[in-house]
Amino acid sequence: METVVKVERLVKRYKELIALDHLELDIKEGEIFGLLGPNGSGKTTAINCILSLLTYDKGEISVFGKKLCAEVKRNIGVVMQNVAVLNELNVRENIDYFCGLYISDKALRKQRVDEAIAFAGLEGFEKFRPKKLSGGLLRRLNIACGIAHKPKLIIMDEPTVAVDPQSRNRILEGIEELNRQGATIIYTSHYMEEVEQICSRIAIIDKGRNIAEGTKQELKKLIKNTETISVEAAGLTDEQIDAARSMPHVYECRYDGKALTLLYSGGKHNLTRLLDYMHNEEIPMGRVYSLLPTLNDVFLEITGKELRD
Amino acid sequence: MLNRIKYELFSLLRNKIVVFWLMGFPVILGTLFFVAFGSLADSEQDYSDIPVAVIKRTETPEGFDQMIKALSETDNSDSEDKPLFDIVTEDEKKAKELMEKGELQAIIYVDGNISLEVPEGAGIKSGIVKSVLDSFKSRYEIISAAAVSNPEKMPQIIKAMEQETNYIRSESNSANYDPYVQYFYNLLAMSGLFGSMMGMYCAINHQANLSALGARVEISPVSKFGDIISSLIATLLIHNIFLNIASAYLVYILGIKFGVPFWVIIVVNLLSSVLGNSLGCFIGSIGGLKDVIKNAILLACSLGLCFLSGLMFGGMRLLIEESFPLFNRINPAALIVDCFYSLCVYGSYEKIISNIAILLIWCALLLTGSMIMTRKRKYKSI
Repeated sequence: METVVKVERLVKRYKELIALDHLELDIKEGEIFGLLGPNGSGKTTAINCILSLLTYDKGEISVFGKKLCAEVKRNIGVVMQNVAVLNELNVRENIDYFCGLYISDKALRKQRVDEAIAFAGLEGFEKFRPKKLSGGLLRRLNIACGIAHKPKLIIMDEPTVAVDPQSRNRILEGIEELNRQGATIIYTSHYMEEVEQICSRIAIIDKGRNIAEGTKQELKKLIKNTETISVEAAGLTDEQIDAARSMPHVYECRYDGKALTLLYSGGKHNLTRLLDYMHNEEIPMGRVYSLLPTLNDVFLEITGKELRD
Repeated sequence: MLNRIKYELFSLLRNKIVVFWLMGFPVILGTLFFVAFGSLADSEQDYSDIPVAVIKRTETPEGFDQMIKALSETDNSDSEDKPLFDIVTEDEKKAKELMEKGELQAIIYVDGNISLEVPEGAGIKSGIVKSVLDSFKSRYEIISAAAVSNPEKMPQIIKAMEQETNYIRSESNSANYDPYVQYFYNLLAMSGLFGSMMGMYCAINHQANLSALGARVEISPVSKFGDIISSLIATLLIHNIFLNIASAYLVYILGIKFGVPFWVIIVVNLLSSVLGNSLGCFIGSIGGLKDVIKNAILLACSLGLCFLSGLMFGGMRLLIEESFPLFNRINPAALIVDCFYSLCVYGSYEKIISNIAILLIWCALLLTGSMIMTRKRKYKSI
């Protein structure tokens, strides 16, 4: 696969603060590439540098193998974090206005605008002005304005902020559809489940550095936890708790008087082994859960649990 | 570019705030002025026979007597035309007494130089005398210089000056100037400068460091310069349409006598609109200032300049003229007002042309400054 965006040793400073510290990214054609990171980690700064909106101190950025120029920009669509539309124009006019920045042919533009309206599910709202739209519809309009010209590379910076679950699902399905149609997508979000759902490859950025990169499975392998089992069981004795703690692959055991939680690092049949033990000891059990690690676990373990700005 | 201009036009036409401030406001304020100042359409202020004293302490300069004579006599005794000046006395003591009584608008002193004394709280009539003398003095200097360099051409030059004097006299007499009409001149000047609001948003909406909309435009392949120009074309077009509708309302519905042809109003409106938008574009392009602060600066500029040109107090321009005349030569609002005033009162296009030149210089400076500030595509921070 061809590289669409390549970022090498990118450094960006704001006076004393290092926003990007030798950041490396290599985004391939056809990927939905997730950019994850806590607040202030440098995600938006990286995107602004890629889009050539920000100056940077060191490093190299190429898009479609070239430095950013008008020709390259024609193939890029951006969905900004903040909704950027003209309040006095209606839905169709807004999409046509922004599409017109890329496509001058009127007939082709009309076709693209129709497709964008259908894609974003804005049929029936074409004559509505932005102020009359709900938060979800407004976000969808924002997306339609960014992708109407059918770009090969789409950069989406937290496009689902403040959107209800129905609209969010619709947006995520749309992003996957755009990807199926051939677009490479860079996607930033705070919602781990979104990134886990749609991204084929993910980079976790913290303090301006790319600290982990890979597929969901590859990232999950980076952390210690492979399984978490929780059993509702009241009145366990210390001996029983110690026995559970000493089972193979258990690296952490918690008991709050009502439920026993065991964290495993590797191993197979962990649940069967625990249930056998409980059965043999004739311990009465309530509900039993077995949870595999999520991207959220990966994110928190890699970036730490302390609060960020 | 046409697509962008089209949508910019739609956007502006649908913006109620823009429509109110650029068209509704001058119409409403104009109507209020009209009601407050009475039926101006019917009023006919007489600006002939201005009582003046001429005190000759030394010999008068060449051409001075001819000018005074031309302005204080009618060509034809049967004519209804009245002379511009009424030379009441040439006695200094009597002149002082008459001025104290308020029966004299100006005392002209000739004592090697030509100077003027006007009563306290001098009005339009004193202003007319001052302008006539200023005009004479500047021409006299030209003639003096010519007398040294080309003495053989003096008769022709004096003849030309006499013709000029007659022209001033006849035009001044025919001018239909109402003292309150300057408030309407100021109103149009202010409406022109209010275009700065649109110019400001034009700049803000095209810079990534100032708005999300700007960022969206900057990451597109269109040229930044072309984009701002298309926006400015749309704002100028809308602003001029609004200004001219408001002007037509004042002239044709309220019957305000501007004393100038309507095409002059259209030309001055165009200029004031370009100036207003350029000013807004300049302020809007300044990085690091919040929109609220930029708005406040623009409002202060527009209203402040209009105040100093006489919007709130009619005698302000004359006061400035006496204490700091240079300011009236560079204050855009005063220049706009002066375009109407000079044509109405003196019937001379010469002043309009020089005012237009200064206004164009202002526009060029402001637009150049804006372009310098906005030409960057990359920012250190957003």
